[in-house]
Amino acid sequence: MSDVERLLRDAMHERAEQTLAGTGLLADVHRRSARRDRRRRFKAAGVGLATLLVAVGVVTGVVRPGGDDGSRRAVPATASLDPGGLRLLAPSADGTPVFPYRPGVTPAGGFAAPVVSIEAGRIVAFYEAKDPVRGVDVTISVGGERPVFDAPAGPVSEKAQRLHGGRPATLRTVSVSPAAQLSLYWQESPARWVRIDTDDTFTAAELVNFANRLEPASVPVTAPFRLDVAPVGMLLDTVTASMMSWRPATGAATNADLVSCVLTRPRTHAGPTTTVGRYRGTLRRTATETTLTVALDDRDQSLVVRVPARYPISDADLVRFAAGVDVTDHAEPAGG
Amino acid sequence: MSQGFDAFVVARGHALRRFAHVLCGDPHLAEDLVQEVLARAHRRWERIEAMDLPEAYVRKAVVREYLSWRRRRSSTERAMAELPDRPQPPGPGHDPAHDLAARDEMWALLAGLPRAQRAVLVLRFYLDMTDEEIANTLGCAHPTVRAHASRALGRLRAAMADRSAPQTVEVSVERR
Repeated sequence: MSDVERLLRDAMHERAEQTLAGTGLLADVHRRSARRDRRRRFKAAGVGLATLLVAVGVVTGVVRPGGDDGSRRAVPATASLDPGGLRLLAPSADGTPVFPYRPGVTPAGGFAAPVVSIEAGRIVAFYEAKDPVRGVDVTISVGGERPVFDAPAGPVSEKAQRLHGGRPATLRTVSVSPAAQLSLYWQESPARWVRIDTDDTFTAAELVNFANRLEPASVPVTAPFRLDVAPVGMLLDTVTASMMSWRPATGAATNADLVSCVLTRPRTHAGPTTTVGRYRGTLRRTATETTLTVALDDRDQSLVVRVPARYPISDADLVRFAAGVDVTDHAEPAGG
Repeated sequence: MSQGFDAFVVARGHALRRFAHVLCGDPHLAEDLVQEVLARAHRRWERIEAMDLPEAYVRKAVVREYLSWRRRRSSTERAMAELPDRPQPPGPGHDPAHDLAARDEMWALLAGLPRAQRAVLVLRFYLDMTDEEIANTLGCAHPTVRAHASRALGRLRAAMADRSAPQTVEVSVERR
């Protein structure tokens, strides 16, 4: 055994010994097991996802199949935010955002079903390799703006590439130990940028080939909630396993401008409660926002619906909004 | 069913948590990982319990969950660019402070390895599994295990050598 191997073994055993002996594991496991049973029952009684996502009249700032530009199409009549306050209407099926590609080549073992989310207006598909050992994970994102990268964790290099049809692309490599991060991005059309992120399990040539072999598809967003009603005249900004949020259709928006529904771990309720569907909730108004925190007792979680003060909403409407949020089997609480 | 399951969790739960901690590098996430696997095992415990090695089955499930689970969170994770500043090692020998710093450094480097490589190293060096057992746990071939181990150890050696130059470390990749 070499020095490195001995050091590795010692480091692992040392950290293992530092694991605290908790006393609540069995109770936690039983709670989680019971929650899984409930989720299975919900799923069995559930309805299709496709009809439940986006509000009627919402400007869908996401890509649609066959769309050539990732356009932010405004649905007529109700596409602007009512200056009198937040309006809520039942979602329509044709507003369901979809991811427009699927891989034409797959790594060893293939990909699992993609997880499609929306992050700050960009639609993102995470393709997880089924074979965790030989495969490679790939994230593809599509949006109307040139990709913006987080501060790199290591030296960055960029190299020009050519895709089929002569389309110019950029291969960006962040050299970090022990595995480099590879990103390939290009402008597919005047209003559509595509970005692929992976690691150096893929070579540059394999990544370019992967990009060249993308095929048209319509993969629906994996939503954490089914909605009876949703904001009218707003863009769907973010959809993750724990959150859906909407932003104004025009102008720059910060987090403070977002209407959001977030699934969280259970929260303590202070003050008087009100009935929200079959649950109880606590409504709180401040100068900047109104929040309704609903105790989902049967899930041991909470739902937090937040509406900025700039969109006036009555208590009754906020309760109606929250009561119409049904947590799907895809949902996971934030931070969990 | 529940009594057998409860007895298993009480008897082996902490060992599973320690294993998961080494595997994923974070005690809180390890707790989550173990809870998730045990919660799934709960409903099928009669069948699992009837196996020759129920703990091996659960441990395998922990590894599989880790490999899948970690990737689901990978888009928000960032590789560590720089290790935290550490005291300069005082030189060769058995200085306890030096040994501790070296183990900390190794632990930090381990955190940056791709998940499959890390899993291979944990199964080999923490659980002392043979390559055949590792291959069975990961559902891959022996050469794949060896390739992962070789690549991971090579990376660790290179990183350790970079950080402690001009000190060199013996290279010994092949095992079993």
